Amino acid sequence: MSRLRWLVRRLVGVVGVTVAVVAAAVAVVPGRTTRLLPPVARLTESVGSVESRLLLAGTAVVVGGVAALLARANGTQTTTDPTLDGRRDDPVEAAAVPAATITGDALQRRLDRVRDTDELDGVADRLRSLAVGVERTTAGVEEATARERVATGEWTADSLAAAVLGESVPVPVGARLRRWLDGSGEARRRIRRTVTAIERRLDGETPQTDGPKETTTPDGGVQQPQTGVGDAHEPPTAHDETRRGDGSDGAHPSARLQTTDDYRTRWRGWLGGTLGLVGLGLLYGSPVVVVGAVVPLVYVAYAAGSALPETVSLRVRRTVLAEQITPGDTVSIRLAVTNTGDSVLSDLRVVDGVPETLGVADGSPRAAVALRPDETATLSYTVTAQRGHYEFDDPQVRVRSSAGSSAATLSVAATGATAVATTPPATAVAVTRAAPLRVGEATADSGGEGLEFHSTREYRPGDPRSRVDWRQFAKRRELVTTQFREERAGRAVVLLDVRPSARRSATAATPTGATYAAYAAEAAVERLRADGDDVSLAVLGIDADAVATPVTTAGEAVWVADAGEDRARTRAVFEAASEAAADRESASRETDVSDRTPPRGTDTAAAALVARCPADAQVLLVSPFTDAVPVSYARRFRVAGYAVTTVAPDHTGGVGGGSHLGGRAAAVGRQLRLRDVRPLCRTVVDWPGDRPLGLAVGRAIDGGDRR
Amino acid sequence: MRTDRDRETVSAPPARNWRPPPVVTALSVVVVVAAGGWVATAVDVGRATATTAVGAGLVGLLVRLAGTDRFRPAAVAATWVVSFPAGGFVVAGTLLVSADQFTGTAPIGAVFVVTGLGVATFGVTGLPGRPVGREELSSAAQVVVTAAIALVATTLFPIVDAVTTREIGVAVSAGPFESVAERLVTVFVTPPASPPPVGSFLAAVACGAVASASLLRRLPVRALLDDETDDPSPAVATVDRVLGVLDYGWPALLLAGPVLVVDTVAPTVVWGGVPRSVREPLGAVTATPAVRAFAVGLVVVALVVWLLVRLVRTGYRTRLGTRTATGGAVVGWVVSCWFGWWRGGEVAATLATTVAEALPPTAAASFRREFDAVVGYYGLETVGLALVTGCVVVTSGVVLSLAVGSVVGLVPATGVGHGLSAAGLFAAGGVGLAVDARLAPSLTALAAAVAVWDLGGYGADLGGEVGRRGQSRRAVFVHLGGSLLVSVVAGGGAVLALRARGVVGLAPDAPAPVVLLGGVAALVVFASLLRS
Repeated sequence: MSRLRWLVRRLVGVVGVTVAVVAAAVAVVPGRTTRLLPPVARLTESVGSVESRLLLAGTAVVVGGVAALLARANGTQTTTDPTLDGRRDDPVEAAAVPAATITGDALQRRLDRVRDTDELDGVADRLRSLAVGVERTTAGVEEATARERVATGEWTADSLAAAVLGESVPVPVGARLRRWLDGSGEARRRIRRTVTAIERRLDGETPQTDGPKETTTPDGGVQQPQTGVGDAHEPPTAHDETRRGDGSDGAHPSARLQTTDDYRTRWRGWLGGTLGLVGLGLLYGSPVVVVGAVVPLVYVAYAAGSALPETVSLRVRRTVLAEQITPGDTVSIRLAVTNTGDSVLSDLRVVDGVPETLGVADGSPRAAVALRPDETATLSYTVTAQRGHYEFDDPQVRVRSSAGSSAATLSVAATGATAVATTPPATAVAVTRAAPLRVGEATADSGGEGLEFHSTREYRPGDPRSRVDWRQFAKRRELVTTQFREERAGRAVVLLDVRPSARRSATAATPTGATYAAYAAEAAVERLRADGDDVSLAVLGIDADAVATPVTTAGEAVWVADAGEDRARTRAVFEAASEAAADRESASRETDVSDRTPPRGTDTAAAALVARCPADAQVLLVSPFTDAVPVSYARRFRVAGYAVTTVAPDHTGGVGGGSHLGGRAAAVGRQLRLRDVRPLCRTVVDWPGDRPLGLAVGRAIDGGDRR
Repeated sequence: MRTDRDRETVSAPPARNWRPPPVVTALSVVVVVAAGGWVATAVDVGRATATTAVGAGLVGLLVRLAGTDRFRPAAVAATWVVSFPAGGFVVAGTLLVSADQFTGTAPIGAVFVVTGLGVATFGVTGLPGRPVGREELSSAAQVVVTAAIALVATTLFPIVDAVTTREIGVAVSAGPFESVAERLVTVFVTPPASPPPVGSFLAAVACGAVASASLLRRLPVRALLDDETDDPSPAVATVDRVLGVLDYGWPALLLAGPVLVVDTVAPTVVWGGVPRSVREPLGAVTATPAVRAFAVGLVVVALVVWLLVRLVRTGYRTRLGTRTATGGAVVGWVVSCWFGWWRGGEVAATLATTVAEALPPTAAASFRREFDAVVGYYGLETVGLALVTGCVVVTSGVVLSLAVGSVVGLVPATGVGHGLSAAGLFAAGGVGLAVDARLAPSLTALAAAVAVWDLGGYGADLGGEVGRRGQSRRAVFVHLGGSLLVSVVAGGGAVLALRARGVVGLAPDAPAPVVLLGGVAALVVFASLLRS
C-alpha cells in the first residue's frame, strides 16, 4: 500500500472516530458539547428548526440506503488459486480420459439411446451372441446346440432374460405391464436382467435353479474356486523417493506472508446491523438497544483487526507408502505438515499437488488444520498408479487469520517423496541370477550333463569317475555310466498386444489393459533373460516408425529377434509400446470395433509372425483379450505346434464388477475369449490387477512343460 | 482439463463433497435453536414462537419438496398438502402473540421477536443437505403460488354461490351448468323421435366408437394379450380387427356433423319427403335412449380412463422433467379441497375457540359473534375451505417474498440458511433489548446471529476449498472458539457499558437526529475503511 494511501486511510479513520465520539458526547452531555463545539451547536439549531418527523424520515432513508448498499457490497477480493477451489472443473482429485476408452462404452451408449423395448434389437443381438458363447463354453456343447438353447430359453432360469434373447419365448405379464407403464424404463430393466442372467450362467448357474449352485468346467469337471496367483501383499513400508540433491529434511525457511485474499468487506453488512440497532435505540429512546450495537461492532472490529502473522514457517514432508508399485496398484500417500514457526496458525488449508493423470482413489489430499508451534498434522490419501514416473506439484497452502478475514496463499516445497513411479518390471518380478554352470531352465529329452537322472549306459573310456554307478559295479561287476537330463538354454517368444482396442480400462483412474500388458511383457522378458533363455519380442499395435531404433516387422507385429541380447532395441520397442498403451486419444477414435470376429487379414498376419518364430520356442502371449485377435494368434501358434502360455491382464474390473451394463457385458465377452483360448494354451493366467505381477509372470513362465 | 462431459469420463469427488462440513451445519443448528429458544423464553412468547417455528419449519420442508427432482409428482402433491399447515401455524403463531400483546401477557413489539425467530427457523431448515438457494425458492414459489391461485378460484365458487343465493335468491350452481347439461341430454340421449334424430344418433354412436377405440388403446389390453413373441396371436389379431372397425368412427363423426346441423336447422326440408313408413321406424331406432346413453357413457368413461392412465403413468415414471408435475398438482388440489370442505370446518371452529380463549371476555364475545355470523352466512364447509385457502395464500406470500428477495439480492442467492438464521436471530435479539427483556438472552441472540453468519461463510469457504472428505473438524472448533470468545468480550463490554449508565446516561434533551446523523457518518467512514 502506498504511503499516501496509508495516510489517507489513517486520516479517514481519525475523522470517523472523532465523529463517533462527538455524536456520543451529544447524546450524553449535549449542553456541554454544544458549548465546546460551536459547529455542533449550529448543527443542532438547524436541525431543531426542521420538522423532526421529516428529519427522521430522511435519516431513515439514508440509513436504509446505506444498509442496502452495505448488504450488496458483501463481496471479497480474492486471487483464489484454482487448486484450492475444489469445485472448479479440474480438481486435483480428478483424472479425465476419453469416455470411449472406458470398457463397454460403445454398448452403453447404445443402451442409453434406447427409448422403448422395440429398439432393443441391436443390443439384444450383441447379448445373444454373448449368451450363446457362455452356454457353449459352460455346458460344453456345440455352437448350434447353444444357439438353440438360447432361442428356446433353456439357458437360464430367468424368464425375462430368456424372453429377451429367445425367439418364441413369451414375455412375462408383469414385464408387459411395466412396458405399458414406462417403455424406456422397462427396456433398461430387461437388459439389466439379461446381463445378470448371462453373468450367472458364466458362473455356472444351472438353468433349473436360481443363483449359482455349482460351477462346471468345459470338460465337465468341477472347477475349484480360483485362488489368487500369489500370496498376500507384503505389508507396505515407507518408501521415500527423495529427489532433492542434498536429501536434507530440515525446516522450511520462513516465508513472509503477503495477503492475497481479503474478506473484510464481507463484514460490512454488520455495520448496517449496528446502525440499525443504534437507530432503533434512539427511536425508542432505549439506551439498552444502543449499547447492544456493541456486539456486532466488536465482531466487525475483530474481523478488521484480525491479521495474518508476518511470517510463516512450515515443513511439509511427503511419504509414499509402497515398496513396489505396479500399474493399477493403490498407493498410499501421507503428507505431514509441521508448524516450525513461533506463531499459532489457527486456520491452515493444505492441498497436495497430486500428479495430473493420477486419480485419487480414497481419502483426500486436502485438509484444514490448526497448528500450534512445533505441531504436526498429517493427511492421507491413496492414488491409483499408472505406469511411469509422475511428479507431484508443490502443495498449495492457504493461511487465514483467526477471524478468517484475510488469507495468504503460497506454495510450499515438500521434502521426501516427490514422485510416484512404478517399479521397473525387472525389479517387480524379483529377478534372481542363475548359478554360473546352469545354462538355462528348459529341460531336454536327451541325456547328458545335468542334475536329473535320465538313464544308464555302458561305460566308455573317458567318462567321469563321478558318474560311474559303483553300486551297480559292486553288485554285478559291470561298469555303468549314469546319464542326466541335459539342460540347455530355452527359447521363448513374447507376443505383446497394445493395439488401440486393448487400450481400455474399467474406470478413468485405472490403467488400460494395454498398459498392464506392456508392463507384464517387459517383466517377462527380463525374467526370461535372467533365466538364460533366448527370447524374441513381437509387439502388435505399434508402427516400426514409432520405435527410436530401426526394427523389422513380422506380419503386423514389430519384431526383435534377440530381445535378450539386443537390449537397446528391446528397450526402444518397449518404450514405444508403453507410450502407445497409454495413448487413449487414438484409441478413442476407434469405436464400435467388432470384438467377436477378428478383422480381415489377421490370420495372414499371424501366419507371417509364426514363420519368423524359432521352431522350438515357447510362446508367451500377453494381451488383455479385448477382442478376438489374440485368440486368432494363439490358434495359429497352436496349429503350428508351438506351446502357448497366456497372461491376460483384466481391464474390465472383473465379471459383475463393471460400473455400467456395457462394462459388465464386456467383462463377460473377455471371459468367453479366455475360455476359447484356454484349450489352445498350456497355461492361462487371468491376472487381476490387485495381485502381484511377479507371481503372475512367474506362474506363466515356470508353469511350462518339458521338451 | 475436462471440456466435454459427453466425451470424457472423470473420476472426481461428487458435487456434495464441496458443501460445508457436517460439523459446521450441526453447530449452526445448535446455536440457532439454543439462542432462539432462550430469547423467546425471556420475552415470554414461548408458545407463540413454538407455533410459528413449526410453521416456518413446514415452509422449509415444502421448499425442499418443491425443489426435488426425484418422485416429483409425489413431491409436488406433498407441497400442496404441506402448504396449509405451514401457513396455518404461521398465522396461528402470529395470532397468539398478537393476543398476548393485546392482553398484556407479552410486551408490545413481541410479534417482531416471534417473526424473527420464525425466519431463523426457516433458515435452519436450509442448512442440512443440499443448500437452499434462488433456484429452490423459485421452484417452490411456482408450486405454492399455483396452489394458492387454484384454491382461491375453487373457493370462489361456493362463496359466490352463497352470496348470490342469499342476496339475489338465485343458486348460481344451478344455472348455466344445469341448462347446458339438460340441453346435451335432450339432444344426444333423449331426443324426440320425430323428425328422426339421425344426426345426433350418428354423432353419439361415432363418439362411442372413437371412445371405445381410445379405451382399447389406452388400457393395457395389447400388453396383456401380446406375449411379444414372433408367433401370431389370435387375440391380438382380434383386437386389431375390432380397432379397425372402431376407427370408422372418425369418418362417421365427420359425417355426423353436417347431418346434425341439417337436423337442427331444417329438419322438415330433409324429412318432409320421406314416407311415414320409413320415417317412423327410423325415428324409433335412432331415438333409442339406451344405445345413446351407452355411447355417451363410453365417452365419459374414456375421458376418465385417459386421465387415470395419465396419472398412473406419470406416477410410475419417476424421471419426469416437468417442473410443475401436473399429476401431483391435481392430487394436491383434490386433497386440499377434500380436507378443506370436509374437515376444515372443524379446524376453523377449534381455532376460533382457541383465539377466543386467549382474548379478554368482551373481545372474545365479540369475536365469537362475528365468527358465528360468518359461518351462518357462508356455511361451515365454505369457511373451512376458505381457511385452507387462506393459509395456502399466506404460505405462498412468504415463499414468494423469499424468492423475490433472493432475486433482488436481499436474500443470499446461494445458501439462504445461514443468512436468514442470522437475520432472524439478530432481529429477535434487537427487539428483545427494545422490549426490556432480560439482557443475557438478548445479547446472546445478537452474538449468536453474528456467529452463525460467520460460521456459514466459513463453512462455505471450507467446503469449497477442502471438501467434506478432507479433515477439518479441529479447525472448525478453533474458529468457533474464537468466535465465542469474541461474543463473550462483546457481551461483557455491553454489560459493562450498561452498568455505567448510572454514571453516564443519555441526556433527555439530546437531539436524536443529530446523534443519528453523527452515527451514520461514523459508520460510513468505517465501512469505507473496510474496503480493501
